[in-house]
Amino acid sequence: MVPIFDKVLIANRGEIAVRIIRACREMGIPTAAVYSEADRGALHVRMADEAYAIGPAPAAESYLAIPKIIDTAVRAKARAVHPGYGFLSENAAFAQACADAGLVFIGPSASSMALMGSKVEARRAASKFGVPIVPGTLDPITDDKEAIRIAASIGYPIMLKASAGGGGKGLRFVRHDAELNSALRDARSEAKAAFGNDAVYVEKYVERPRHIEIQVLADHHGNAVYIGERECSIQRRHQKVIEECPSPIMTPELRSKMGEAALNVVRAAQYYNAGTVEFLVDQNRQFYFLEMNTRLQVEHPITELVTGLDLVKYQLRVAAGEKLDLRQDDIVMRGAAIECRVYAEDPANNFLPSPGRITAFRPPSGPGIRHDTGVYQGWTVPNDYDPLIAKLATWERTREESIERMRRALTEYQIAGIHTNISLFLEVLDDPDFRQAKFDTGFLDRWMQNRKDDQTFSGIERDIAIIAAALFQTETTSTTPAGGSKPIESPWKAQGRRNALRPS
Amino acid sequence: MRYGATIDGQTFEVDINRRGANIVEAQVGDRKYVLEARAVQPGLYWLNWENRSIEVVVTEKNDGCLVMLGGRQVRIELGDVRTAIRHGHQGQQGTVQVRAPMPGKVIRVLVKDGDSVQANQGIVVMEAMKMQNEIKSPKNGMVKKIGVTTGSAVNSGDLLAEVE
Repeated sequence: MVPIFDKVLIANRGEIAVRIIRACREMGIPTAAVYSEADRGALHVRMADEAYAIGPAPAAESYLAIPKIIDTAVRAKARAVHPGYGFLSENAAFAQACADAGLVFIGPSASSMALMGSKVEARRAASKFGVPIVPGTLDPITDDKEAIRIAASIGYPIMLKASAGGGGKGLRFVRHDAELNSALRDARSEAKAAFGNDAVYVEKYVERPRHIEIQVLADHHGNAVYIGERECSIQRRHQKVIEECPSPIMTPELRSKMGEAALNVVRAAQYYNAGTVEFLVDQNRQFYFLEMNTRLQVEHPITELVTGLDLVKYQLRVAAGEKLDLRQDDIVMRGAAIECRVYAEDPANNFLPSPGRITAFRPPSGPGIRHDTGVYQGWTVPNDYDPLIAKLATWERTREESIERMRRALTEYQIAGIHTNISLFLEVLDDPDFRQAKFDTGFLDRWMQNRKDDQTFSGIERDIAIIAAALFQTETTSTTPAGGSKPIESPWKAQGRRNALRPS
Repeated sequence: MRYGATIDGQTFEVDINRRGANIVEAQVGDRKYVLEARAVQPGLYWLNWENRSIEVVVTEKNDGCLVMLGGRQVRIELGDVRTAIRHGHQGQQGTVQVRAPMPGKVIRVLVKDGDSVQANQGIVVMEAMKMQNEIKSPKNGMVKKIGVTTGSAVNSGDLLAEVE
């Protein structure tokens, strides 16, 4: 079999770089990884066929440095570049720079990316193609007085959104005039820091909406299909935490309506590649176009589990100019999948990030489990990047069984050395409203407010926990702490000593 | 080895001793245990107590540790028996040092020396792992000292402020 590309450079890191390497390998395509100084020895670097250092830890000097990545791709003799998600994946200048250097960018054209990348332009284009949008401004707000006037005309509450935004950055909820000025300032400064562009726009706040998104796939020849939906309403501060496929409220009628609307967005943008059209769905199941993500989505595995399609392979084939071998009737959804995003953060302490060395790691496996990660035992999770360390997905015949499988997988998941949000998922999965799929995008934030910070242990369980803590303490300190003033020993030294003492 | 273990605000005396290969004798309060204990990987233990097979994960957390058992977690502080018991009763009295819970960069300092603050009021905004996080005051009180300025790079455990 002749591979469709001689070599693909992956302009990303972590679990998504690993995911892309896997698809390439199954298609016989050699891969080139890039890495920053913080990622020397990272899993994606170890797994790729070739690995190129591209600069220091800060992303601006490595994973976001367009000239370095283009030079590396040329030097590595790569034919195509896969941007993953985040970093340069939605940067039209990067897509253009690839094209200019004679490299195939595995994504849409720079122009459709630019169109959908401007949330304001995207809304305008979608609206022109008959896709329903949330009432609001179609232009960025330039002065604060104008913002107050517009807010009054569409009615509070409103949302401020970064025109170049995504991932919850540059986003503010505003209840009344008094909050507007500071919200504008914060949204602009966050947008400027995150996207280098401080333009923000106003949108009416839809009460208790669900976030449901449609996966699409389109080729260079005008063929496009929608590949079911994902329910992404379980979010913390606008960051998705748990996703499901299918959505528990979906009906075949609503799916085909939303699917057709998504395909209209594809037409409006003259889009090719895999993509995601995000909608808000209100309490009456009216849906509104939110934005289009012109890249592979973090939560794509649940769609793959339910449809049996490999979206990354389709991205590669589309980029190579192949025609889609799928018609709408070929898309069959089977069973239910759920995904938990494992973050290096501490749910018992305001979700503060928890970078550091992973001392123990035993992820779950077995029937119906998919685990995508970029970490391993002994790896130090850097402080410089996103805290997502793994995606755990389960598949079963029904939503209930998939949830039970997820509970099993989460109790199997052992990770030490850093804190993660794993225990939080078990609590959410046991919530009666979650079980009955009665939720909206505000569910998790409300749920968090009613939650106790620490879980209580009693009886034998508490004693066992204390014994384990004491065992850990005897291993990290060599003598009884005298008044607790003994300096904490370096875990590196302690580990070295343990390794030296371990019988081989 | 003896410790005072504080869990959910209660302090227990724990005495732990190794007896031969992977056998541990422990006493928690007045309850005695003999278990088989193996460190499968650093921080991941397998325990067998009266034929109950238990996997448990322990991770350091500012002056204590976080224990994860059956998918649930609890924070335990271990110390010298007497200080632990005293500490257990003491709570957040006197001057409390607010320390950086992770490495990162100070984006904004939200209070000034001498400001009075409420529990859970933001003290500084730190950036780590691409997220901005407010580090909050642990108690009602007055800001006594600020250890950082905007733009400071801090390590985990560095002093951010003192609240009295």
